[in-house]
Amino acid sequence: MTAMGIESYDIMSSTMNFDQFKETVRSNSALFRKRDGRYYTILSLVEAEHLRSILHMRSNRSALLPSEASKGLGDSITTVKLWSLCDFEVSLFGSFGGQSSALPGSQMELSNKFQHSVMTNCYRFMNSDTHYSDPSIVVLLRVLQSSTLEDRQQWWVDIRACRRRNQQPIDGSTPISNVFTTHDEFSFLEYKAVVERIRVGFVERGMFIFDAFRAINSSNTGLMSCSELYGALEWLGISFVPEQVYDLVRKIAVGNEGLLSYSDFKRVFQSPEDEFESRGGDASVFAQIVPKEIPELVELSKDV
Amino acid sequence: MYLVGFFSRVTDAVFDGKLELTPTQETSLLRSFQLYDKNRDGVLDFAEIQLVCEYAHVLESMALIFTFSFYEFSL
Repeated sequence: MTAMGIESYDIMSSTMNFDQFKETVRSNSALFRKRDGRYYTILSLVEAEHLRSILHMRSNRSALLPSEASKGLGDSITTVKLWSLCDFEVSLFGSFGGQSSALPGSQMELSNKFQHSVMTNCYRFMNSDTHYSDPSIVVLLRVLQSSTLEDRQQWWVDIRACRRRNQQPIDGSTPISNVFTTHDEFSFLEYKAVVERIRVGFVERGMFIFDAFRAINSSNTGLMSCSELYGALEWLGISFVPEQVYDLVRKIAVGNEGLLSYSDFKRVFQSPEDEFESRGGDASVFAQIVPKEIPELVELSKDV
Repeated sequence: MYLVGFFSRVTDAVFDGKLELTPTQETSLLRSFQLYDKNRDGVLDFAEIQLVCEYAHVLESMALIFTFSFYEFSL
């Protein structure tokens, strides 16, 4: 436990207070470790082809010529790896130098999982990729924490504009949007806590996702308003202020002028374990939830 | 240069050791704790810690999963 940097609470006690919770999350250094002396660079296709040729020519030998090594430019454990960027990961093309090709007992140390993930996800970000898993989003948020949300989005859009990619606008249904709407991993934790808490609330009340949407959308318009969501949060016993409701809706609503469609709602709040969307039956199975009136986002935008 | 300039802002704070939390980050963490603390008694009990485990799974953090699982077993 100590080796993992987790030593902040008494595991024999029966509860965990905020200070222990904070320390446990904050000091999770085992996840964020790096290995020194390792450098990453991007190669063009031509450069990669040349490197691949060298890789074949120099298999089982040092990455550097003996004359170079003797000048202090490296030593026998200098190694090179050639990775290829795929859809969601990088795959190893080959490696050479040092003892890397002698697999058993090799002195070539593998990079830490987090460091490897930083490399992969930074390159995917540069490559204008749009779809990321939640762990990848956390890694990107940690790497980009010193940049403003506007800078991140502007940079990413500028780079994509140089490519022959679909230039359609990014909305809340695309995972990359989390990087443009969430300041850091702690904000992301808060967002995931909200989502998890709402999901648990539905499960505890025996509601599937469509049951919940139908009960909350008391106006029966098919589009959930901020007032309706606010009422649902209160009904679930989750303490929110209007600004937090607006932030949540802005984050997950795709179009519809600040109203949540069923697909928005389902995409975010459906529990992965749920096989069904509804218990069936008519709308009266679950009573409709009373909205808590607040100005809607579309009204607020008119006031600005 | 555009590429390099952007990513060179990544500092060693990204890796290795504890982060010094800004007030905003501290607030996010407190808010997360309050969301997990369903019965609002100021501490996380067995069932509430299970919720936090969901977050650990999100991170794919074996250290966190182990920690929270171990914590559950000790109750």
